[in-house]
Amino acid sequence: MNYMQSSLRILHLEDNADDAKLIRRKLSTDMPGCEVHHVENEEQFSKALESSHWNLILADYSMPSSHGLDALALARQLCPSTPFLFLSGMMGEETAVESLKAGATDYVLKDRPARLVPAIRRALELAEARERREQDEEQMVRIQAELQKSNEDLRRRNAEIQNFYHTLSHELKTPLTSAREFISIVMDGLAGPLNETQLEYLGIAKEGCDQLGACMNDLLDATRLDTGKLRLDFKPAAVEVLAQRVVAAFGPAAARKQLSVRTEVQPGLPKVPFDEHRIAQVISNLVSNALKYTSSGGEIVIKVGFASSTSELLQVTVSDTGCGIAKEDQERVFDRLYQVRAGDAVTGQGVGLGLYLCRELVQLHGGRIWLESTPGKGSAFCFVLPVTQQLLRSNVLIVDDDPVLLEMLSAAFQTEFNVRTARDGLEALKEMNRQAADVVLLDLVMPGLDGPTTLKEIRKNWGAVPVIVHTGHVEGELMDQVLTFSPFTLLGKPCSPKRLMEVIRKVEHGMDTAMWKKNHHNVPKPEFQHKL
Amino acid sequence: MTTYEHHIRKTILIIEDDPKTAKALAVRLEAAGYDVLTAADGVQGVRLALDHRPDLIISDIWLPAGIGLSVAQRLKRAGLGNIPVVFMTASKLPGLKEAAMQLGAAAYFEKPYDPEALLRTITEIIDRTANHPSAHAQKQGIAV
Repeated sequence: MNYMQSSLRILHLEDNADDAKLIRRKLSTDMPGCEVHHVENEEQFSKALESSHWNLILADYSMPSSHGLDALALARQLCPSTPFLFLSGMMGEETAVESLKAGATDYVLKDRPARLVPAIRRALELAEARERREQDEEQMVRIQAELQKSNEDLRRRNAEIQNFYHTLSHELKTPLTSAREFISIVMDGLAGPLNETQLEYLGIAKEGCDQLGACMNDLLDATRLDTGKLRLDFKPAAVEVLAQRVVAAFGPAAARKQLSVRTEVQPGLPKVPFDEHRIAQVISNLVSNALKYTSSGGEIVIKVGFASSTSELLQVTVSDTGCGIAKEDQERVFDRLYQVRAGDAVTGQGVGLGLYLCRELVQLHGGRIWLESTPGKGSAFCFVLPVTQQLLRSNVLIVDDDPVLLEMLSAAFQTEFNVRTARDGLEALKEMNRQAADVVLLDLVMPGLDGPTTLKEIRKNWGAVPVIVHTGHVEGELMDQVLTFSPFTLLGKPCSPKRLMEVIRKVEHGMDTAMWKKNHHNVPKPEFQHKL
Repeated sequence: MTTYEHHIRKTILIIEDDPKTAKALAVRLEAAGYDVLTAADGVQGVRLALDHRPDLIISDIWLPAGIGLSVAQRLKRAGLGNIPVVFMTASKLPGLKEAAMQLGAAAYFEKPYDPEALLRTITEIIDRTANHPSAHAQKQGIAV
């Protein structure tokens, strides 16, 4: 807002009529458009303050009837943010300091009128800047409150969703249990003898019950993944033993379909850390798919060995001689709710969560899953697991408003980390809510929620998660703010992806030596930090 | 005495609020040669346990009038802590199995259950308990 052009209202307290005229003339020449309202005594002054809004107050310092400081005190009380200037015939340094201490914005000597207009302009600019700062602060407080609320809402919603699915699954499984069991009871001959056809039909009914049960478990797992509630229980064990056990359970089903199923294990495999229940789920899912899509007389082979590229990864391959998967579907089979089409019709088996869960579970183990397939010849689903826990992939969250940088960094990081991205602070907090990251790479200057506020929320909700502040502004106000939420690691932009990855590797193990702490006496010099 | 005990049919108490599941379990267990009692809630379950001193209890976890886990605690307080309890639940709540095992559950099954595995486990547990000296004492003490 430009005070010089728009109507600027100045209240002028002056008991000397000549002086008042002089000031009015001066202001009307030098500040056209400004409106000066003249009052002669404290009574008029007080009335004017109460009845109207003023952009600036000019007051004589010493008047016979009253004292300028009394007028100042009154003004500070009624309109504390309106700039207040003293005009004085003579003012010593002491009185000047005294008046400023009492809250005056500035003072101008009457014998130096040339200073008047610049002093008014400066006072108005200061007032405007202060007002803007106050508005910013208010807005910040408001945003923080909103954010906190939306965080709490999200958390509550997550809990509600979890609860809902747990209750739903419990309620659905109860009737399923008795239905399945009565089918078994009849099949086992406990209700009298059955003929072959009756047995076959009941077998189909029972299989349906099992599919329904598996489907509910998948739904529950998917919900846990979505709400970040799925926890793995890592224990060193032999993958090949687990694979053989899982495969053995499919023996009868394979025999019924006249499929040959065999396991090939490379000798001398080490024990590796994994969640037995979850990896069993993955292998079981893959074998069950292979059975589903391979016609009678086909062959399914489950291979367990080192990955061809490195002995730091164990690879499990489930290959079949089935119908194979078209090139355009290969990328998407691991997508959530994706169903492979066979011919014109959806095969109608499963809700499309199985392979999605496989991918998520393998990734949570720090591994990778993929598909090699030739339509008409067969498919091979492969996944790798790290041999040592150190190799487990960390979750890195990159927060930056620059889309090009986001794309470049996530492409580079993907070779080693599980990467998620956010274009501003709010998105970052949503991602954190979904699943807390192991390391956060945080930009400072972003639209909406900026770096310091985002970090504040991260500290409040996720404690000491390692954060790397990646910014072009290693000095300045935002830097000062962000230091309140230290420690963090500071990297100056631009920083190569290679260097960033080195630092991520360090901080994820708590090994960073160049951490910035507020009031830390051994803070390395910014030059050194900048080179990082 | 031992030979005589071998001829006694073992009794299993089912605490299950879903009547269909309770019935399915009863049919299965009776076919396997057990005597079966059923209770639809925890309170009735504890009362039947006190009156009949079953050889084993199969209990659901989410029950009206006190969850299954508290049934185990109440049995313990009533001096029936040595009756093995097999828990069964349709819930997949994390930590539930651990909580049940900590309370001294003899086994834990998720619904839908595998009847063969359930029968096998029950037979093993009953055989083990029957050969345990304190179980003999308990049995003799209540033989009326």
